[in-house]
Amino acid sequence: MFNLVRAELRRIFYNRSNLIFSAITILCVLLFLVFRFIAIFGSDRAQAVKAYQDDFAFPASLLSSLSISHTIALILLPTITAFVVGSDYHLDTWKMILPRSPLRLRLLAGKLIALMVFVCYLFLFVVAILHICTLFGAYWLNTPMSFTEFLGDPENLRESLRRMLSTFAFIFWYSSVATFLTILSRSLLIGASCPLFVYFLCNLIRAYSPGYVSVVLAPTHFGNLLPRAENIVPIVDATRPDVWFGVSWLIVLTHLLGIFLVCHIILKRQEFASR
Amino acid sequence: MLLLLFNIIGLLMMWLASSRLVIWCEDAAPSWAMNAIEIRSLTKSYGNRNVVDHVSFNVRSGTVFGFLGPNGAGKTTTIRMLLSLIRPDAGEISILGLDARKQFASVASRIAAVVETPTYFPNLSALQTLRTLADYAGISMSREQLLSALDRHGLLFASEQKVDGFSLGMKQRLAVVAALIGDPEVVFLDEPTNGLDPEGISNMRGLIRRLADDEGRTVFVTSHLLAEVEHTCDEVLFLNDGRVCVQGTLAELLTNNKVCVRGFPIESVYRVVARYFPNRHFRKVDDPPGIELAIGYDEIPLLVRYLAGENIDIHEVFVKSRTLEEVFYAVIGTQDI
Repeated sequence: MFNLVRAELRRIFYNRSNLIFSAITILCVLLFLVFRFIAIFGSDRAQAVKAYQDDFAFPASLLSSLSISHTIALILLPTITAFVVGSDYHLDTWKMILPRSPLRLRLLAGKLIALMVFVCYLFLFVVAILHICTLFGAYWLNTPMSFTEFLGDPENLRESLRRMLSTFAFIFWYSSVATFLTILSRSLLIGASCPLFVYFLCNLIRAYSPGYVSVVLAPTHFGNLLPRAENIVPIVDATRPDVWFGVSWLIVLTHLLGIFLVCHIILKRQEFASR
Repeated sequence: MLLLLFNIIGLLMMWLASSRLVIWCEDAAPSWAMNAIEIRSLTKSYGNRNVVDHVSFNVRSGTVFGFLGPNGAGKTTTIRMLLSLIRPDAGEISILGLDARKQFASVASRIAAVVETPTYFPNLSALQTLRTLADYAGISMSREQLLSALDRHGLLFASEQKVDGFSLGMKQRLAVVAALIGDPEVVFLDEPTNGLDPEGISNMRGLIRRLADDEGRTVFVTSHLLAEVEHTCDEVLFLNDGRVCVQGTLAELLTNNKVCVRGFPIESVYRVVARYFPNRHFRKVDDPPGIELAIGYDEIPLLVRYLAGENIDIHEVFVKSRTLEEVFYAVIGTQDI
């Protein structure tokens, strides 16, 4: 498996599209920073320092990184996934790979693991870019880069962990949807463009359908993967369902495993005839 | 008591005999030592069209097997079925003694393939491409081993160049280098000379022969260049419309059993042949005038003796063999290769 992941990672990291992915990532981070900095520096110094500490001082900055990563994932993840999974259809390289490495389940798992490694790399890239940029903010406001008081409040830690779980659950689910669509359609283009549509469709169903319909959708549960003070969570906002967090885990994992198995079944049944 | 003793001795003898039988079976050569590939009634249809129709053949171990046919004959579909890229509708595929339809994972580690025009991963250099393909195959190779493999096929100079910029010939050679990673016992080469210049074709021919003669590998090759196949293969099979038309060794297919005789006066030649070889098929040929006669190789001295006995000036007596191209056209009945 390690060999397969290494092969996939080599293909991902040596691709020219990475320059585009990196450029879009930097652009997203910069746009976020520009809007936040305008808001921060428009206020008086005390408010600006407070806002800076809430948004950009470490470790609160990790929450900002998660927010940006969520947005970037929404835009880039289907393209990256379609590239990792769909390029073998597009380039007809399955004919080189499959005779040598015929276990399609392993190949699929290798691709998804490599994809997650690349997503983690992009997340670290976002963190790095954000922190480099916020250095200027700290210098401008003459305030320290770190904000250790943040760690003193348990609710902050809980919220950070919740957002992190939510973001990574979204990334796993979204990339598995993109993988499914790419394998099903054998098309890089459909794999890159349709997951966004599926995501919006899920949100539309969640917004307008009865609760028992939306409860079976994985995106409903991304924000509910960590218990609050009590185990049964009341409906406090639209992003969290009225179910125990264990049920949310079960539904999200069932979705992920189900999509993976369906992808495997489709891939196993696919034939690679002459093009 | 005695009966019991006899029974025990009898049982012991039977056990010994069966052990010897097992030992004998283990010593005997397995079937795949003879045939590296055995295909039985392989069939594949798309809709109502039988692309491959009950194809059966064997490929002997350590030989170069030519798989020939016009465009759309079903060659590539067959190769893709052998490589588990396409599922057959029916039939059996045995590669190296293993059922390739059920145990392809075991087969895969012992075979390699270049299917149609090779396609590569964009932006990877030749060295990175080899390393990636080795990773897919689960084979660990050092940089030196990979460079050495590239060097053997004249690609060392391009080891760090992106494969995107390679010529078709270089891509073909790289595909062969990649195929030979991991020391496969059976190598499938689909149109290996596509895009190669004459020197490249000659090198490829030498390489294919070396793979079989020096390294004992079985090479399954498809090609449109019949002259090349004629120089390279030990055995060939012609496929047309998904069916096997003819299969045999080159010696079998190219031998014509036709003797061409040119002498003077030509009328006397006709007369001698008609008198001494009655009921044999012969035909007159012109420019220069002569006769083409279907006789056995051992009958040629007799023919020469009869002609000399009639005081005929013998200018030329030779066995006329066919080219593979002639066999191909005779079998396929079309000029569209």
